[in-house]
Amino acid sequence: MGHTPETVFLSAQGLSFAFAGGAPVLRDATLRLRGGTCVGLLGANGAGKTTLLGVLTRTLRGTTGGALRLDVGALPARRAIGFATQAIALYPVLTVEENVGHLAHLLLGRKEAKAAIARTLEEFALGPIARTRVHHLSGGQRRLVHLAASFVHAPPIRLLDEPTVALDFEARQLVVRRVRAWREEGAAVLVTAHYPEDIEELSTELVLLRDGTTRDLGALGAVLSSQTRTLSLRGERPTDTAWELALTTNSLEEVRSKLGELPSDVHLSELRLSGNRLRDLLLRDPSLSAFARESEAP
Amino acid sequence: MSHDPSSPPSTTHGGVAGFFNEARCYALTEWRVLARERTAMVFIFILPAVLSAILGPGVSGLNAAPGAMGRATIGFAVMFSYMVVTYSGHAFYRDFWYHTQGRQALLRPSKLAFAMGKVLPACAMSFAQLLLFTGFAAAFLGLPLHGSLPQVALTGAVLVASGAALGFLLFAVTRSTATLSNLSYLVLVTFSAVGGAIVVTEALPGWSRALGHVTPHYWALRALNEATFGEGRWSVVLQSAAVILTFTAVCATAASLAFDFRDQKHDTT
Repeated sequence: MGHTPETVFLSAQGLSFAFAGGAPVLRDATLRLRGGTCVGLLGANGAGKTTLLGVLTRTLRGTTGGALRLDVGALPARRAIGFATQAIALYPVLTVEENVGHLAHLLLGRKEAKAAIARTLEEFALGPIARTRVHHLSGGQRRLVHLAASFVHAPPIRLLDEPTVALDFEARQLVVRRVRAWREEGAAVLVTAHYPEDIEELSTELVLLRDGTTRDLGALGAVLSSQTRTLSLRGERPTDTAWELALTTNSLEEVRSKLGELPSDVHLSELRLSGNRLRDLLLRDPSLSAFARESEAP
Repeated sequence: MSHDPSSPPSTTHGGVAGFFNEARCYALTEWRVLARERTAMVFIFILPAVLSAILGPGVSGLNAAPGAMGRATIGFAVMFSYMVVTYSGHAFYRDFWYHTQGRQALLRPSKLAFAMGKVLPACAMSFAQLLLFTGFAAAFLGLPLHGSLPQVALTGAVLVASGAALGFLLFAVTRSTATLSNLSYLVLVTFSAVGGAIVVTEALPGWSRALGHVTPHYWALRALNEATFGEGRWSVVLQSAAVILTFTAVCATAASLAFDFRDQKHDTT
């Protein structure tokens, strides 16, 4: 067949984009989506994440230069890409099943569509509300139906723009499980999210979009391991004067050395005896949030 | 399920079957929306019925000739069948109201199949209204039928097709639902007025009658008059249908050229 899970399904090279009469939104954007991976697209509000997704799906006019290539075998592009837009795209007076079925019947044969609808409703736990009209659903339920309707045809390339907006914990976990399952099935996934925590949970690779330009950050694990642990200690002396010590290091030696800098009347082993009160002890593991804050800082 | 994109799609539609499947899918969704929202039913069926009952005697004259009330009813039916302009335009704008336009831009169905599917339900409603009102007028209001039902059906079909094409064109050249709605109501009233749907052409001033010739309404009423009060000559009906079809073809071609799945519109609902 010639395709391994690491096959590049979509490759964009040097894409630029500007809305008519506007300033450039994307400059020389480059991105690759490989099967079995999920790329997390990081970027501040207005960085151009949604525009980049529009360019990748060729649903926007204004792309100049560069090359966009799909390697999805015999599949036509319309079947190869699924795109869950940031705005919920559903017909409110249609039922959940009818909304999911609309795209399935457009793209798949009758029997295949029927099976795909049933499978998708089950995967997104929508069975109990399949016959409910969408305008009767909560915001979170609509988001799940939107995701289900966008990927009912099981495309190998799946783009999700802010998929966790308005979801409660349980529904968010369902989305995380689905994205991981898609990755394991070999799909190439691209996801944007407001919160780095979501990207961290969903992605295997990271791309940063800043000033319209993409920067490939590599594997998520590598990005996180380049970050340092943070140890924060805060407390009060018997005299009610506060003390604070923050350590940002992965080195145990450095921690020991820093602890020596604590006020002379503060000894961790004798905090209670000496009357010191320890207010906070916080050990923060490397996270994408800190990285995102640094990356998005001007 | 694993993804192996190198394997060909199993049972997707292609060619003619694909074309009709796309048209069917869009038509089915549009039909469900129209049927459940109900406003189209009100404007296409109920409003002309009410106006015919209220204004029919006034329009046809208190001492009207036999069948004049039936003629007035047909006029209101023709007038409100052109609500197909509004509902066809709304069918396209619906994707912007519900944010589904991105999906259409991604799928890029055949423009013709997409447009056909979108307008078919509104066309079916308007066509059914014309047949229903003509049948009612013939059965209860003394409207003669010197021609044949196929003549009425042909005239109704080309008239609603022209309205659908105009609706598609108005969608393609406007940027908001409000603009489309305003223009389509303007079309509804002016075409009906100068085309002789509200007051018979003979009672209109000369300039108005001259202007009426550029409206599908004038030609539709000419054909319907021939099929009812007239001699039922096919030549008159076919000539009128040809004029309306020309209008339809011009609108549809212009709309198709102006329309792009990637167009951005203002959502004003």
